[in-house]
Amino acid sequence: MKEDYLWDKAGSDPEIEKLENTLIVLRQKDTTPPELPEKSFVITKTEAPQKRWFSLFPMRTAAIACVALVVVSFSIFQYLRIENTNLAQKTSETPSKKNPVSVKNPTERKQQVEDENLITSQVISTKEPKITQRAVKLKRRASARFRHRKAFARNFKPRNLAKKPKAIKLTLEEKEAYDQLMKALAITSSQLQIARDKIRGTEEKSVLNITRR
Amino acid sequence: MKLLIKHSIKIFMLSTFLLTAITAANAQTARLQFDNLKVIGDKARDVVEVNVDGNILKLAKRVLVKINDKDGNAKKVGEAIKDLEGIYVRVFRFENANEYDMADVDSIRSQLKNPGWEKLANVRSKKNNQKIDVYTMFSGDVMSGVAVVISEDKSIALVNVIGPIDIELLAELGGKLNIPDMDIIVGDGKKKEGN
Repeated sequence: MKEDYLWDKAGSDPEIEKLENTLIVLRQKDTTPPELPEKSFVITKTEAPQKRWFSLFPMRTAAIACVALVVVSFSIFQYLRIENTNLAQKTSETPSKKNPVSVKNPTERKQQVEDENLITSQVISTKEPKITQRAVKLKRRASARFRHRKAFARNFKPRNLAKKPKAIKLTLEEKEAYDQLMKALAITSSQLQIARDKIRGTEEKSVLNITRR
Repeated sequence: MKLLIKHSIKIFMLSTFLLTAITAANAQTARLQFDNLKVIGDKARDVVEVNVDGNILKLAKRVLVKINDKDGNAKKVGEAIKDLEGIYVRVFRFENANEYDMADVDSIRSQLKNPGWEKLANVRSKKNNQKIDVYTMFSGDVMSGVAVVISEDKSIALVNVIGPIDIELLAELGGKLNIPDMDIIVGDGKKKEGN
């Protein structure tokens, strides 16, 4: 087997030629070049893409929720800050106001400084229980409020629901009959009322006439 | 002796039958005839015709027993109409004054002159040419019928109640007779809005 024959059909190779002759019946007869695929593509409209999870939660709602969250947290923060400042103010209003006593003597001055230190230490020592008491009070108040709310939630019955009467199961005939009766009774009672009012009115008039005479 | 017992049983049965017949006759007489009102109905702009008796009344009474309203008005109404046998109502409203023939209404009023009917109230007013007649019928101590005839320039209202009824209570409950402030489930769970 010569490789030149395989490459450019130079020379002869009986083995390859035999194979060629055998396979010649399968040769493509059409000499026209094959069609190339189109350059322009038609894009067919596909179905709408499936909704993603975040499309169920629109951005606008998310933004509103975020703003609401920020506002709520800010207000809670402010509330706590005001509470703390109030607490601090109350604690600072303890009798630690210094009396401006003029001290001339250095020994006396030293004594006074020592006394002041003693007073401040006493004040500091008395401050702590007050703060804790206040904290305990706040805690108690909060827990009481929480308890109250819990109890309220437990016992809460909306008015409309409480007023809502029990549903009655009726057949169509019963409903019709009931409506008919109610209509008849309503008209009857209204006519009776008209008669009664009229009679009462005439009676009152006659009484008035008698008294005028 | 046997013959005497037989005869006494027969007499007793006959008298019972007669008594029942008389009672039934009395009950019948409380019913007014509204047949000749067809002429008025043709001329009227609005006609309301309500007949409640027999099985319809029984059904409605059954419903009233079922209702358990907060104010107990349904119970009161149920009590007031416990022994009621029927209610017949006719209301006619006209476009213009004196559009109907007063003789047609007077024919109803003439029925109230029959024995058994007792006049309870009678009002005549020149304002709107108003005429009000309220009659009752008693069999013994028990009321067996009520008739109300109200005629004005532009309207006629006729009410005929058969059987005992508490008029005062009914008049009192006038504004509360839209009692069915309730959920009514018709048939198999199909919910209808309360009136």
